[in-house]
Amino acid sequence: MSRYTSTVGSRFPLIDSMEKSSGQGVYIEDMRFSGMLYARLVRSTEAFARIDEVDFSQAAEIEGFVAGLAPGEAGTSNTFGVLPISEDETPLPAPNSLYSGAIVAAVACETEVGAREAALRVQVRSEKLPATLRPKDALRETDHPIHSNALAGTNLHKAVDQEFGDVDGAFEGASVVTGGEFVFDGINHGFTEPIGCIAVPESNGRLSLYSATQVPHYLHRALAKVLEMPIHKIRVYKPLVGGGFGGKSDPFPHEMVAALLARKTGRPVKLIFDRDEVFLNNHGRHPTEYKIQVAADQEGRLLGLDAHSRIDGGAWGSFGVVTTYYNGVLSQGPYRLPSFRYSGRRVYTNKPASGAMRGHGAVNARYALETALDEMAERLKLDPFDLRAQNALPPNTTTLNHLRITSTGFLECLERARERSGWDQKFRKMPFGRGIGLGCGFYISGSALPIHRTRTPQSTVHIKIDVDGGVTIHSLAADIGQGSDTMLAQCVAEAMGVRIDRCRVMAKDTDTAPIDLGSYSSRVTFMAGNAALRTGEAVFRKMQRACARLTGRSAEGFVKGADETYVHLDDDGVVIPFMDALREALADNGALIAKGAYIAPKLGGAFKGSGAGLSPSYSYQAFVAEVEVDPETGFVRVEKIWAAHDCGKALNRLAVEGQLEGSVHMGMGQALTEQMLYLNNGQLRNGSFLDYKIPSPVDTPEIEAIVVESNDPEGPLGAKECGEGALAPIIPAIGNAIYDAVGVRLHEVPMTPERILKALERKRKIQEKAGARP
Amino acid sequence: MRVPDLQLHRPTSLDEVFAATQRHGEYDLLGGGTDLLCNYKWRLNVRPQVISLRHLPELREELGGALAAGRTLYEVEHCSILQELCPEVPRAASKIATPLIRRSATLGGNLHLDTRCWHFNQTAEWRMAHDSCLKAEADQCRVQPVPGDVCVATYSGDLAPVLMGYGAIAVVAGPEGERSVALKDYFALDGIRRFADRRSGELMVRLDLPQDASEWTVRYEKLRLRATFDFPEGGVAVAVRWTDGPGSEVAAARIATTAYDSIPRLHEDLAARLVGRCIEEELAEELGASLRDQVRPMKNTSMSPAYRKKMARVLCKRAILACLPSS
Repeated sequence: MSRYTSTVGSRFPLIDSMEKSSGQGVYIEDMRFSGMLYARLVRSTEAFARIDEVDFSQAAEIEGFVAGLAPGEAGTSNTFGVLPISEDETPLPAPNSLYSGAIVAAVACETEVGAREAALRVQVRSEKLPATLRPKDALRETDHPIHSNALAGTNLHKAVDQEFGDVDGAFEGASVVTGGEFVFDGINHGFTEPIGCIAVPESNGRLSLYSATQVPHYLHRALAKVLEMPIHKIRVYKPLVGGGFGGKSDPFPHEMVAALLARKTGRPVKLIFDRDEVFLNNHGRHPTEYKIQVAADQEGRLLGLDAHSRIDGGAWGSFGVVTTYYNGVLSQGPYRLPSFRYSGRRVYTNKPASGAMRGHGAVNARYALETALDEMAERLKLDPFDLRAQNALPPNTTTLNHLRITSTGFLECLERARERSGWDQKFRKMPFGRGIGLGCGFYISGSALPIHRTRTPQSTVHIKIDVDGGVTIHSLAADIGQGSDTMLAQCVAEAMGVRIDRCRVMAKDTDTAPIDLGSYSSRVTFMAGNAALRTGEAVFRKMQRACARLTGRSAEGFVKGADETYVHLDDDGVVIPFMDALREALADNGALIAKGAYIAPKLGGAFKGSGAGLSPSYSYQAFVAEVEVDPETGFVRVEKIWAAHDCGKALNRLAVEGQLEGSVHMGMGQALTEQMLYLNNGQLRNGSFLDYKIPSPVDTPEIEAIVVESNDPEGPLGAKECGEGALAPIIPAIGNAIYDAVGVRLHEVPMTPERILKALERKRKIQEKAGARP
Repeated sequence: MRVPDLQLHRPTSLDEVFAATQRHGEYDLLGGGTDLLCNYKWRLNVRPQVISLRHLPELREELGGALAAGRTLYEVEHCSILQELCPEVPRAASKIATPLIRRSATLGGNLHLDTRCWHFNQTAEWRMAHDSCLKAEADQCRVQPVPGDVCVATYSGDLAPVLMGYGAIAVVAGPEGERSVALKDYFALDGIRRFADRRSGELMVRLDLPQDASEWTVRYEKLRLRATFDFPEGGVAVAVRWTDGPGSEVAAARIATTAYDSIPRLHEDLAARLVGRCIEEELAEELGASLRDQVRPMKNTSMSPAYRKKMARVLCKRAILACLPSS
């Protein structure tokens, strides 16, 4: 019997790759509407100010000026935000503008050039307020809090305190304690496509918003709240998105402004950011101060972890409550910890907001932990791999904070990274200046707890199949370049036993797609994949019944055969081609439709904050970096990366490798070169790709992606996440490799040449002092 | 982001250029556009008249030779004549910006690169929030706020120090005819004015090299965070002419820097200390330390002045040692 050949594990290009690479793909910038206006935003020149008046009279002199939108107009002070617990954003100041570069007003003109000119002419009268720029200042009492919901008369946004087990006892009884204080600069996602949207008022009183977003559903909700319109009167449409990495995972003020302008003018309004505006929008990784201590016994068994973070949230809440938790709770893996204490503080400051970015909440904490473990291994004279392996979380267990651990390929990640990198021949054995380092990781495969309290599934997928035999898949999972459309098509094709090119994915339109919560928290493959699989399986059952009607055989006896056929298990001569089965299935019924959904199982404990970090499954990583450090300049050349990642099952090996390589490249940027820099007045001073230093292809080393498959029992076809977790371990791997190369541990990230050189000079001075002693 | 409205002139002869420059008092000359048009998009000193130099045979290889000002950096990088005559020039060209930019950017454009400063190279909106600076809309320098002081924006061309190493001579054409000026004397220490003795309507058409150029060994070391794209945060070119073949006693020397001032600069006193000596590690280290003490980088580029100063020592030492045949 010739059975269906699964595509799982094979390598194939994403289904939209030709559309994108040929230039035919439609991004927001490519879209035009009849009568469309161009909007331009007026931005604050002060870090903190009360906006008293906006005067458009000079702007109105520009030819083609149509309208302005000022604070105080209808809808401009309605609050919204991605998390219902901190909906503190408004489309325009109400009445305070919260950072230098924040949106203060907007203009709409007939031409883009006119809009630019008009925006420059808008006069803003404001009263300067005392700005808070440093996180430590934000914890002090103030007469001018940035938000009224800040805690205790300060600018504290969120405080988290958690403790499990006997932490003090663990540290008292420890043979070795390592750690220290770490500082991480803020970074930006650096996606290729600038942010943009088009708001279109429809003739029937509806409004459509076309936006490059990762979260059409959350945007849909926020628009309804701000516009005070029934949600069914609003349509959100997501064209192709040129990268997101978390930077398009909030509903944003500019989307609200475009919608309000469209409603005001009755015409379509297009708003596209320049690159510097993308940096001003930010919502990138939080600047972080992190203090950590890790305790172990003489054999290297971990006894406890004590961590404290202070994260700079900037002007808005965004995902910050989640970030505050994640900086602690995601350090509970991949190691077994008998005791754990964490306190996190997120503060508001008068700077562009921080939010979610690839590896959300886990990355900075991971660097601190993995650096402390490297130091611990050295103190205990253990190999870093052995230390990690002996503390690895076993499968099918629960962490102290009630994270449910099911599949884990962590030990295999360690074994394969060690073997492939030639670790045992290199570690502490290479000449001065050359080093090798290990960094490990652990990340959620989707947040089990939905943002909004609802019993609606986290992902639903619909399928429609008509006489043409094409399989149309409707979903609201947002493909932002990571390949989720391809994943949906693959899951459905696998379940139905058809070729993937029979599937067309319509994951872009709230009018036609069922709810999916969007592309964030590395959730799409696990959640939307499961929903797609279930939908495909529902269709398959209909096809089995059609085959039974055609042949008189039992429906459940039909299985997927080769070349899009269904074959009966009892007689492999009974072969029904897909189209024959389909015609029978359609007879008297019309188009086949099916749906499938995914809801994460109920997980977690009964303590405050127990929902943070819960996931139906987790990914694991062990990465090795080999570096060359120039001790005279502090420059680091990353020579090679070995990236072992447990993704459960590689549905499409090419896509998995792409995600790993992308994560490594992005992590390298945070490790070595990227940082958002501000002047003393709160102005961002490096908001361009020339001055914000993303590593170039020339700086990027050879990356060996090592795909580890633990076959998750609940993952779609065994799969887990691979898009985010792989970013975190590369940074400590590089940091630990630098230590192996030249003997300095960097507690500031990025590890710029200047910082490395300073560390080397400090070390030299200490050595000279020690040598000078009698 | 869009280039503002402007009138583009496309002359096909120098006479047409001079006619246009005399007709329009306020103009900019456009080479590859990779510097000027980026500044224009940020509304930096936009001039309504822009004169393209792309169609002038005097600025192309046909009339201007291998070092014609209008040659693209890609052409310079791959020019076999230059690789033979002054190999460090194409090598330095290969370190500029990115392959794509080098296809448009020109030799003349790199020499005339506008000075850069983080208070200046920002969008119009950014500068409005910051009251701008001496080089743009305001009357005070944000780096060294001394009333009446000169602009200290940083010069970031890579080719100037290397060409100075070879003793290059700039040939400038104007309505009055051609004149030659040593490249080392071409610049003036002022981030706004930038050029010494620049006469109305003049433009650089080519560079000439002295007869003995091929006898010089030149090495250029560049400091930048990324291995491509970035402007230099410091750059040192060392040129030596040997007494008796490569590695022998130094008969003559030049040391030039870029990205440490508002102009590329020749350090003749330091170079003189190489003359009559054989290059050794200790000597290179000593001259590097002296250069470090001489340079005064400003706080207006990505890397800190303290670090750039330290790196002047390393760059200088490495460039000196790289001149040795064994390197």
